[in-house]
Amino acid sequence: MSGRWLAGKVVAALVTFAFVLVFNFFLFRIMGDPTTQLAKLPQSTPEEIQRLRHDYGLDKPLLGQFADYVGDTSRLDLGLSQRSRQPVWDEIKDALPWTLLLVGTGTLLATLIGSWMGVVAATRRGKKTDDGLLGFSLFTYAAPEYWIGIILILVFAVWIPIFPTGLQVTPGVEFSGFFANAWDVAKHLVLPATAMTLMLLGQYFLIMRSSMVDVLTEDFITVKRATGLPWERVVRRHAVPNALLPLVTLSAIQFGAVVGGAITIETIFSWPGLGELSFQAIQDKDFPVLEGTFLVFSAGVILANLLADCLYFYLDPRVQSA
Amino acid sequence: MSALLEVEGLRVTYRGDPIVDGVDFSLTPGEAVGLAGESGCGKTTTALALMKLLPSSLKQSGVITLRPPEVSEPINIGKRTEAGMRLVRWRHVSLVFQGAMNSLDPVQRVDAQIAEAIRLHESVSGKEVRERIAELLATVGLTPALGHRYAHQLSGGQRQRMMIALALACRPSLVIADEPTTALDVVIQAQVLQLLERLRERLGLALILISHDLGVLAETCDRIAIMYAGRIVEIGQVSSVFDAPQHPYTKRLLDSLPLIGGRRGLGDPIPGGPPDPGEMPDGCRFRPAARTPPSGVCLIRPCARRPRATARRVTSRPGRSGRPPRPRRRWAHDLGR
Amino acid sequence: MSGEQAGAAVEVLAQPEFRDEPGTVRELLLGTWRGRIGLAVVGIFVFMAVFGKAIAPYNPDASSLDVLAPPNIHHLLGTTENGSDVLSQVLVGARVSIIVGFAAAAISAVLGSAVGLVGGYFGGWTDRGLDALENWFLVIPTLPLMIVLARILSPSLTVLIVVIGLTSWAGTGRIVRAQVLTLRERAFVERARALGAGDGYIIRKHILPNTLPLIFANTVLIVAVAILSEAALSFLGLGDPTRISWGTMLENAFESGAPSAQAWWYVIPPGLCITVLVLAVSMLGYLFEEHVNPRLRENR
Repeated sequence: MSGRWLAGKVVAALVTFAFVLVFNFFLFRIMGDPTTQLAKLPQSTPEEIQRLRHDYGLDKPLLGQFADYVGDTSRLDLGLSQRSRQPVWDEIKDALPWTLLLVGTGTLLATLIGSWMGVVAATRRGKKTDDGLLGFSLFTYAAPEYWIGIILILVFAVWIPIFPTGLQVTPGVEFSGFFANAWDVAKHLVLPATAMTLMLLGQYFLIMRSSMVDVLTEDFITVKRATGLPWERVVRRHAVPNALLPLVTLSAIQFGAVVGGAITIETIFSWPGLGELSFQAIQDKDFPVLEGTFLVFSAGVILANLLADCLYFYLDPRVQSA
Repeated sequence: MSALLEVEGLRVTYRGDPIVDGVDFSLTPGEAVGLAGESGCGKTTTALALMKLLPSSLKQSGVITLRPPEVSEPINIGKRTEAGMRLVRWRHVSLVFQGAMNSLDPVQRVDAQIAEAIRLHESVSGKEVRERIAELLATVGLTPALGHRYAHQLSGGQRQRMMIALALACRPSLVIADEPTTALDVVIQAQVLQLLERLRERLGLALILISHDLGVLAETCDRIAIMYAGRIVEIGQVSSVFDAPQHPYTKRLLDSLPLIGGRRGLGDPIPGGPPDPGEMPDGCRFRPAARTPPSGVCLIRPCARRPRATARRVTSRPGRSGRPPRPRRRWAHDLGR
Repeated sequence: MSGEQAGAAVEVLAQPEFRDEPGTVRELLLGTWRGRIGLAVVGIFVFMAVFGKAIAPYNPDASSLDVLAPPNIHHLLGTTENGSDVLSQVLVGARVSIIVGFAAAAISAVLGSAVGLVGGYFGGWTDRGLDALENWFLVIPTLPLMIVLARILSPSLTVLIVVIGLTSWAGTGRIVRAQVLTLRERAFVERARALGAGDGYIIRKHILPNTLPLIFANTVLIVAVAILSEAALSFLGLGDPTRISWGTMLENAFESGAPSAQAWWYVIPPGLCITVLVLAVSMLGYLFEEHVNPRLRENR
């Protein structure tokens, strides 16, 4: 059992995050000294501007400022939102669970359905089922997720008003009890989660299909058949477990796309997550919030990659004894 | 003694093109027959056809009859459905592939894979399975601890022995070994061949050994069949085929083997390769590549068989009966014995 | 490509191996039905991009009183919330997608190839540094990065092209680097060096020609990604405000309440155009990719 491989991945993740901090720091400083914005205020005298700069630590050398930045970030002090004057971290903290709910549901469904579709297509390669599934997946991959979201609203919330058009809860209504509230949220989750699932479905399907096709050409599959195993069991017990391995690694590359989808889909459905927060910040040119959400998104992707590595470690005995 | 396996007119086609075109041979219980030929001649396809393991894009026809000693009725493999074949596979005929990493499931422990095979065909308790596995592993010279490992944790030789142990799990009467020693170094090769030999004697196992390595076949087999472009062009006792080959292809194959102490220099390569299944020539398939000009017989297919005193069969050759056998050649592996 | 004739002894001895023959791109495009359909569809959109303004029935910015009208004889695809003609906007919008898609992909290809070539060929610390940079770009979520960059600068077509190009090169870089690493060790490179060829010569005459097919195939796929990225950025309000694009159409449709008004004629066409164009480009990209990497063909 070697945890060395895994430890290496953790270190790499930390290093990447360090790079993110550096990048973030410089990115938002290239816009220039923020106090120049403040200088536009009518009553500012040069002395006051000087005092402000000192307060914000902007008269320190660059390295000093970076040290401050790292220190602040580790204490979760990400500055104040320009629009609301509230701590950025508070706003992020409130939005994060909603994004996790949406992204988690979408990813889970997309993985399950997409993988199952991939297995079916791989075992019926070249036949109509395979072609149909391929066509469907290519379409959902090419279609912008926000467009699909709008169409979902149009059809299922307006034309046939089954689901709400947005938000995460019915406004102005108080529900009693946990389950009633949960049910309300669930109703509001359906359409956005569907959009998210459709967006990711194609990618998981293609990866699983190609992975299965590769595995099915291996010798040990023929050997399993030769031992007298029914084909269905050969696929389920031997082909699929081996095909899952590349699926885990390859789908890790998609995490960036998940974040992108979260932003656009939350915007469509006014879902109060990080994506919606970012969208508002874009409109308001609220840079502290943008900086904060970018940091959290990057950290999220790095963490997700690490989790995928852990999962791979658990699944593949070859890596465990490396 | 009735034949353990009889194959008559085995044909495998891919979209109409013949991959295996009319193969006939038989096996007596406990006999070892080698199947030799270059890549693409149809050896592996024949092996898979015997167990009906070909992908659905390959169409198979012909009569294959299996008569395992413990079964009263002969098994007509050609007529069996997939469900019927599942009862035959591994129980009466099993398979050993090249011991490359991927003949065993990489994410499952090896003993679990043997246990799976046993449980498919017999209802045994957990304890019995474990005992059987330990016994099998001992037979091939491995310990139960090795069985508990994963495939990638075994050496090449160990993996191949594991494959053999797996193949013997349900006590079949016939084992088909497809290039079992190709991926191994010479020392391990010898060990594995010796193991197969011992197992044959102890268990009365019949063996179909497929290889492009004539030396390996010469050591282990009783009879040998030479395949070219989907047909068996020569079949007979190993000694007579090697000492006095009849078919031009066999001759060229043997000529191309380097001899220790023989003439140095590059041998005479056989021009080109076997014909593409989509463009088979009429008559004898080797005609375009044969060194000697063909006679009229070579244009007729299939040509008549000539029963000979040495019970050897040769196809598509003008008769040359009465020719004295050539002096016995000394093969490289001879000197090693 | 294989037109490098064996003139000088140097050329003869250092003859590289090519995987492609001249004209195969044409063969693929015109000879396979996938190529033909892909080419036709992309051709239609390019035509729209070039002549959109000319063939549009109305001025796409012109407003009228006929607000959010469903398709009728005057407006085949209905009107927008300003009374503008949807069809005209769709036709004109093609230009942005095509321009940004191809230009950004070109930048990404140049950047990625340069990084991959330099890093893969020279190795050592240069390579490690560039590789770390590449990995970082691959990990960072692209849309947030694009958003941040686009927001800092003021949105325009050029900004879009640059931002998308700067964030998409890592994939190409990785592929090129892998290819260069294998090529570098091949016999013909050693021979060329033994004959006194310099690095620049080797890269130009031997490494690059063997890598170009790979770069080409990958870049076509990047075009698809770039088109989707432009649409997303425009949808979020970071597109060029002076131009109409399919992304901005969707943004306007959404903002003005088209879903509630059940204005399907406003919502469906722009998104459908994006989808179809991306599909066609992707199809061509996969076609080229399979040609360059034959292994992919067997497993399709």
